[in-house]
Amino acid sequence: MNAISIRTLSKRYGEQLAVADLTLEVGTGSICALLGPNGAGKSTTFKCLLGLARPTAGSVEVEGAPVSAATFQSLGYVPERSTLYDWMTVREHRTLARRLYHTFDAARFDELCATFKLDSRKRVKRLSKGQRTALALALAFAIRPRIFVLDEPASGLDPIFQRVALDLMIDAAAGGATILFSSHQIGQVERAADRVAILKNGRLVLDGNVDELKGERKVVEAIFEADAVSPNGLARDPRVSRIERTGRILRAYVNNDAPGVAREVETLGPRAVTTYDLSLEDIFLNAVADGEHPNAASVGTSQGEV
Amino acid sequence: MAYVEFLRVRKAFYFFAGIIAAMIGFLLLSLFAAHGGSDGNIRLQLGSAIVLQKGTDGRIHQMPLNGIKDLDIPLGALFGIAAYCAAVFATVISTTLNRERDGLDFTLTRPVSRERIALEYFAVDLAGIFAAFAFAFIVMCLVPLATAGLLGRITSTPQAWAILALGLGMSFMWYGIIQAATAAMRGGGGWVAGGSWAFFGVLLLLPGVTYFGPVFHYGVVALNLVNPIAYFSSLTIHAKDAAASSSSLLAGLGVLPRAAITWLIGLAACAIAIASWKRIEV
Repeated sequence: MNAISIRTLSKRYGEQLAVADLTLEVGTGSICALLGPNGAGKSTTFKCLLGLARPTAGSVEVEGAPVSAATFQSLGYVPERSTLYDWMTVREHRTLARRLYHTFDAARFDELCATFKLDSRKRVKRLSKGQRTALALALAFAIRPRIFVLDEPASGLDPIFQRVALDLMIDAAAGGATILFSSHQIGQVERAADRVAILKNGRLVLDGNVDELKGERKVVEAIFEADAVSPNGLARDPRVSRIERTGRILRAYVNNDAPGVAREVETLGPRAVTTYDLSLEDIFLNAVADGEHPNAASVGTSQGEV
Repeated sequence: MAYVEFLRVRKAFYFFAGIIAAMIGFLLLSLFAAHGGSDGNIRLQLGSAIVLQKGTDGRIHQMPLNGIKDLDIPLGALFGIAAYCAAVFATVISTTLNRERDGLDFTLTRPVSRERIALEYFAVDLAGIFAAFAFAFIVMCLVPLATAGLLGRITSTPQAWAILALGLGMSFMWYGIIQAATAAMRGGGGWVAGGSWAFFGVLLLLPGVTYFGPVFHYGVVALNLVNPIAYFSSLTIHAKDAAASSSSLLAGLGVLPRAAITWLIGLAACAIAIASWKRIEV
């Protein structure tokens, strides 16, 4: 059974379609990263998943059942923006959580507060943005839920605590928990996630296992003596998803048959041609690149027309 | 979630109690200070009667109430004073659901249904209103009267207990109306709660305005049915005067029916607030 099932979900705010026909299944025990540029629909997807917003169409299920109050006994959520009670202290939040969740592990919470260096006597309004995120994480992880929904869980954290947050996620998943999270920090995603789903303008543009996505996709990079030549033929090649020209460098993002594409690039007379694996960041940028036709899209500081 | 509301109400109560205690303390002190006699003694006067006097021995002496004969202090009037204090407290805490709008992500992802969250909040708030009433009754009424040695002058009638029910009902009705008005609003609840005093105060006066014609007149008379102050203010209009009075539909109504209506309107308003709260999207 999938821990999270989102089926043909759409959410419209007036004229704006925030999420369009999104289907996403997250298997039990997996770490799935929901990526996308700002405004892609990630937070709206989370809100619909958690019952905070009503879907315009489609359905969501958590552990095979529609979301209800009981769902949250086994689901930990960290929102993108701190929504804790400003006027309450860290200790009072602990008491609140202890009263609400029968699985709340107070010792674990204290341990996490110590890790994040949170003063239990401090009111939330006296905490920095990163400390508020840390408190939200400590509360979510101390209830030891089976499912985590984390919207930008490292937001405001310094690099040391970002690593702690990442380790918490990996540790929880190793213990069988399912994690759906969003992040703009691709490095973290690459380290933690076993699966990514990329949204653009509310639509799912890419979904798959991280290793498989990286294994399938390559970059063929050519360096020319002078400015890179215009590779007109490659622009329409179905094996190539995008071409990028920056000065003397030409990069072809290849979905399959990288050696074949490399041979074609060789015919353009470059000084050197290299083929390497795509990073997750490359995959992400490739997926969300602007342009009606994927082949016509390019990124870079001084790209040429393709 | 009741824990959150308990903390919030406790904080409001400390503030409320502090202000009332300070007011009464200042009043008693100023009475003592202001009535220092030419002989250098300090006395507390009630009308022409000296009720307390600091003697040359430095001790406070209670004086016989020679100047005040047949002074009766109706218990109902004291309940009335406490009721208005409780109404002030009720408006202070009446924007609970509205305040939650700042952190709905956090509130609505707890393992508690929205209805139960609201009901728990209402229950804690109602207990707070009762506590505010009791505190105001003791500190604003009993303490000054005891200080003046007038506790024995309090007279109780069966109507007093109906006024108690009406006073608490008025506060609850006020609380419910503001909850219903602000539950779905994004912020601004404090303005509504504070402005409700001015709104209901002016609304109470409008039936006396004939300038705008009968439609306006009967409109505001009808509107006063949901004005908590109206249930208290027209208590002095007796049934026999009711026919002559067109300024209040409540004029001929007894205290107990009024109390029942205030509680019913309060409950209905809370139900509307819950219905609005349930529909909220983040």
